Amino acid sequence: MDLVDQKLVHRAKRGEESAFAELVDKYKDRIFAYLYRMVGNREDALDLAQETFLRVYSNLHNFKLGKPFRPWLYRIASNLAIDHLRKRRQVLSLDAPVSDDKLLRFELPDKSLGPAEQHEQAELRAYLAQAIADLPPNYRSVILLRHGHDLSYQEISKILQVPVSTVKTRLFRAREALRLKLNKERDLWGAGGE
Amino acid sequence: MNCREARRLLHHSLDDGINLTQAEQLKRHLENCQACRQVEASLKEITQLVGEFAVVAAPSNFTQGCMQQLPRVRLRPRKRQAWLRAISAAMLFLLIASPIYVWWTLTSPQLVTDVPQAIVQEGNRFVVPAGQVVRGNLTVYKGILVIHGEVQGTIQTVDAKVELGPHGKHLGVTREIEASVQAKLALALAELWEKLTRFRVGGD
Repeated sequence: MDLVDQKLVHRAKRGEESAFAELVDKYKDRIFAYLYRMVGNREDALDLAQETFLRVYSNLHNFKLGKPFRPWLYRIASNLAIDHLRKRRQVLSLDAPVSDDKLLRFELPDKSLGPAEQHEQAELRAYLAQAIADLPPNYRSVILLRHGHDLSYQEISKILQVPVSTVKTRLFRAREALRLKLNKERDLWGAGGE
Repeated sequence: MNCREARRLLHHSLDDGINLTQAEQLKRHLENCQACRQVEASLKEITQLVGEFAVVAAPSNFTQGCMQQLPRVRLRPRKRQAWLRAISAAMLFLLIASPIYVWWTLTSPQLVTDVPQAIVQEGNRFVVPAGQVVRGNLTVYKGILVIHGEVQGTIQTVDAKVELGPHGKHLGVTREIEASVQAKLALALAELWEKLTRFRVGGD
């Protein structure tokens, strides 16, 4: 449990807006990044991230001090993301499928590698990004929370409201799916004679 | 150790860790198995890439934008709460009041007539005083109808008795009705509904 969070929440509950601003500042990148990778669209992710913090704010009076803040925050974001994806799927099923290539871009290119390696690394990353985007949302959220946000099984179980055993299973399957996809891609490159 | 087990351990080692014995066994397996070494490398690569992939910075004005939206949410829950509280208080009142009302109606005597002014109620007794003539029908529910004067119409009794005084007269028919529970309930609800609508109309 994070004592800094507890203090900030306590102060925010008493109506100190500056304390709430500190909380937003502390978590905005993580929440935005999580939502961005979940929904794959920058504008939607920004709206959802803002909505997440507004919901936190309007529900502060329901939050019991002493309970961990981080899983609660992620849970609100997660629920919004899943709702959004569900709604969008209904809309998309009416229109032609839209691919959002922004999703496939990594924000930080690795400058320490040579040009050829950089190219290969970039392709691998693009491929992995696609593979993550192709995972069902339930699996995507688990792998992002575990390896992107360094959350524990217990925290993920609280965030997604599923038992720890389910978190483990999904994590295992998600990693295996990514590994097999990357392997297949590598084999294709190998066959291409690189 | 077979490859299946080794791969399970490889996954576990990424999460909650594995104990020393398992780590030793896994190490020995990996030394002899190139396929599993490759799996290990892939998994490490994947977790690292997912870690990098997950990092995206929010716009610098994000916090400011969020804080500007706060007044909009602050008022909403309070208003809604006050409204909800009023509704739930009303619901609770109805929930408690209506059975009491029904019970009270079911257990208290009632008399229905076209000429109420000719009849006097004394506790659970409805008295037609000497000299009074009731030209119409009477329905008595629970209680006793005492006739000292004269009744010319039909008397219906539901769980009720008719007592004829020494000079009392009844020229019509007496019909006794055995009331079922449903009928009593229906009567009580009909009464309640009538009172409520009258109250509402009167209030307007």
